Amino acid sequence: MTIRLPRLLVIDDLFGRGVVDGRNEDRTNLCGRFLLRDVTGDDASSQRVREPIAEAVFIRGQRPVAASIGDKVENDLEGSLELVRQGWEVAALRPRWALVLLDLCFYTGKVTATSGKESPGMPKGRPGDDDPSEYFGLALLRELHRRWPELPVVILSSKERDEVSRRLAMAGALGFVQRVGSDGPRLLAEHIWRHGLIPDDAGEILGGSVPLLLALRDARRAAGSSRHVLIRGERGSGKELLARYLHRQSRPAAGRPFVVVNAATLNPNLFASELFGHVRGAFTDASVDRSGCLVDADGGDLFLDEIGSLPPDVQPALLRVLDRGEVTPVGGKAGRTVTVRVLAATNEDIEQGDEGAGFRADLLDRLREGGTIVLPPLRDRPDDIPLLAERFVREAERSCSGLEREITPEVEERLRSHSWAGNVRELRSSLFEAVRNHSDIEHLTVGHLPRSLDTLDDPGSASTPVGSESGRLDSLIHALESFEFEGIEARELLGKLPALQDSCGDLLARYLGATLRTQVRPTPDAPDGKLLIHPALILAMGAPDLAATKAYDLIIKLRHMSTGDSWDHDELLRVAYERAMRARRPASRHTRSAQTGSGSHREPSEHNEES
Amino acid sequence: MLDIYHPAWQRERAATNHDWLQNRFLVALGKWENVRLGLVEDDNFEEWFVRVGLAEWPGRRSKMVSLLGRFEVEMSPAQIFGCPPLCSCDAPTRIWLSNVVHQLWLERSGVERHLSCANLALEEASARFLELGRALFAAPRGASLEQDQVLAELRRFRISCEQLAQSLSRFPSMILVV
Repeated sequence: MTIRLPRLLVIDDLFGRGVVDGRNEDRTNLCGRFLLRDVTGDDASSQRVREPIAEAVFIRGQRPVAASIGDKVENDLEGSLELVRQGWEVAALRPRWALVLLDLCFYTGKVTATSGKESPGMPKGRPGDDDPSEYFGLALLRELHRRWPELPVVILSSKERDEVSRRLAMAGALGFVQRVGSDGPRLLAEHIWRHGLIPDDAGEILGGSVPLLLALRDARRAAGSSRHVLIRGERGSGKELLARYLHRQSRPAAGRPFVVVNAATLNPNLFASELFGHVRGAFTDASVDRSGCLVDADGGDLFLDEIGSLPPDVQPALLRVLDRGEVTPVGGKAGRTVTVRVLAATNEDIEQGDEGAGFRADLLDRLREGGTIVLPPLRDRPDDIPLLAERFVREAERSCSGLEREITPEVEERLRSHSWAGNVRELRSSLFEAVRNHSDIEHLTVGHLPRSLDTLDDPGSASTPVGSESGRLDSLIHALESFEFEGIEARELLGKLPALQDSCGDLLARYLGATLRTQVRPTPDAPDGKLLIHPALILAMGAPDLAATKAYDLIIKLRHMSTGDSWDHDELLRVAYERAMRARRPASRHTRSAQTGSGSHREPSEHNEES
Repeated sequence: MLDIYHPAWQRERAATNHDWLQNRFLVALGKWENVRLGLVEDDNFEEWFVRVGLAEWPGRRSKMVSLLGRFEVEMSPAQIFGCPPLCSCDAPTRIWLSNVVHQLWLERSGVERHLSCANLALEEASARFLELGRALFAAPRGASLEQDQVLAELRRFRISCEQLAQSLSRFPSMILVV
């Protein structure tokens, strides 16, 4: 399995600038210093970092990106934010930014012969540029935090930390790495690990959605301490996998035991014996001494699942273990000291339990002293469903020797729109059932899915975001269809046609963009996702029989209807249009020339417009 | 005309310390260290850096010596007496008052301490630079990492440059009114 490096965005005037007719040596050196792989794509450096800690895209945050002597360099807030957005919100073709590294002081003004000689393309700077209260980096930071509060930002600067520390923290920076200082590279690696939004590189927990990445980050942060952790999440959401991830992220993970106990499956009478062990003769069947799970987990982690089922009489003894680290086996007199971190999990609201009959509050406090991690339900991370579905279908095919099949867009849409009360486990069992019952097919269609998924919504489920989105679309269509122009005065009607045309074209473009985003799928040769244009258009048209050529023609047609800038700013739209043009260039010419005649595959609306 | 918020000394200090020493020279030294450690491959870097990058040190060092030597005069609030409105004071008043202001500033802002630290750091970096040059000259080919005297001296030189950069950063960036 290929380990994907965290993807950083570095916003820095010196290291992000382009160099006219040359390469940015300063950036190459920075990457060599901090062990980063430069993937900006504008630099033909021969440098090779053997074990990079991350890959980095560099941007200048200013215009022009590559300046010559005489050019004026100005800060570019909106342009920078757009580039951030493209790697954060539109993360279909590549992984999201794991972290943004932001410089503070950006030099502006004219590039002079002197300033350009020192560093090609750098301006000499204006008086306010290095005023800490006016740093452009600070303005960017505030805006980044306002627009995307979950996007992690760390400052990478040569400035003294004390100078701006308070302001930076208030504006939402998670850390500060000084470029100067022997510790810089180590600190950067630590910040990426601690603050970055990074998928599970072992691939055991699949997904790159923000809610999941935030849970993984919480787990890494908790892994740095030996305190007990509480994991909350609905059934089937992968609490044990998360506990294993936390265990793997702990240092050192190798050689440390990881013991699993499910409180719900244990016989209540034997619970204490399972947990604490027993001595021979402690009860009727105790014919030999036996160590319990806590002793087995000594020096490592004990995953205690379903702690809501922990019998009340066992809770005080467990509390003693957590307090003093001392385990006394059932029937024994002498205790033994253990060092165990308990990773407890529950999907119950144990805080509401009635003390005495339910869960002890003091035990709960101990169990979450290292923090509480909340695993998102699958319905809150629909973007992860295609990746999960792909894995489960392949696993199922292997287990029942079924044919390798393609998952159709309709199935994907159905899986996305289901609310998954049983979460990932339910998704897995549904797909296994679908494959097991239809082993001899090459396309998985909606008809192959278990009947339990027939309804879009689960009765009793908390929410169905996808369903509500399609409800919004229906309302929009209804509003457009029912809009009355009667009674509007002539002066209000004046000159509105171009604007109406623009907004309709842009609306269609954004709709197409949203549809394309649902059809980016990981494949073995493109693990980050491959854009499937034809299935996207099938989805958009609701026409399973739509031919690929027709799909490309539709894209070209929509592009020509739009004068807005969605097509320039949305990477997926741009890619789709370029591919459509490549695929249909001769046919497009044909269509256009045939529009005055009787082109057989012409759209009715085209015909009407032309005639 | 004197600009107390952006005096020429500060602009020169920023160009030397922030733009060159911190952003370029130290970053390149750090990369060089990683190249020698085998963490980074860049075939011609060492040869280029020794010939071009390191060769800048003597000239930059002279600039730093000059900067430190001019600090007390150019950044003193006594400068304000050379500009309106205080320049219109009668000469005897201007002289004794500017002296008092200068002395107060020296006392309160720890100028001597900053200067002494920076001069010591510059001396140390210069000495380490010479040692690095000697190590480069005497370096045997194919030495193991443990025996790599160049790497050891390079590391010492980088650390001394980091301390120099920090001590240069501690000077005020504007003419402070006492």
